[in-house]
Amino acid sequence: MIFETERLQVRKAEANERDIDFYFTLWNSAEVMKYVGFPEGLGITEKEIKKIFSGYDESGYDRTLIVEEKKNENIIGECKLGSPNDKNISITDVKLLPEYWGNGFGKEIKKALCHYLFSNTSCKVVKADPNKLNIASQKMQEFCGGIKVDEIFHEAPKKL
Amino acid sequence: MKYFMKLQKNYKVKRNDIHAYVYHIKKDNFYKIFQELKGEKNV
Repeated sequence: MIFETERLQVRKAEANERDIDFYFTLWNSAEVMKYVGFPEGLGITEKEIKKIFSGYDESGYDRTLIVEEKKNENIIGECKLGSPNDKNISITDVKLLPEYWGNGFGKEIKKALCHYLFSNTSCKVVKADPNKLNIASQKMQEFCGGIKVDEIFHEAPKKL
Repeated sequence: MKYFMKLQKNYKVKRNDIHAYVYHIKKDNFYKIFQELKGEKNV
């Protein structure tokens, strides 16, 4: 396990059926992935997910991590701890299955990610770039003391 | 988001433009809010 909170525990993803099924559902969810520019989901296969996992080293940083409920070990989402760059800035990410939205799990995980990075690494700033339409993610940043510093625009590729 | 932006090269699926805000959470500001965590090594 990497860390735990009051209701949740975070661990490395494994290339087993349970974890791969979870990522297949999460990354192919239109509801989840529309906020990162994939309105119909990633269209990723189980084989491709396995390939991503095989490229990870033993570190808990810069890789997808599984978020589970402590009480029943149900997988509710993924998160990431980014290694600090040369300016001591880390990037985090949180994605939850839609059926677990609205329970404060996102804020609980974000708070724990920030605390983990600030207390275990050289990180001085945690950066995130929530979609303008993703109000819940913006509230999550603000809950942890996040200040809006910029806006960015990524244009989708013209041709597939 | 950057991680998934990279995947656009690998998967031929429908894409949308993304307009996003950039947030910074500064360490000092975080521990002003969550003073109970200050000094704890791990979560």
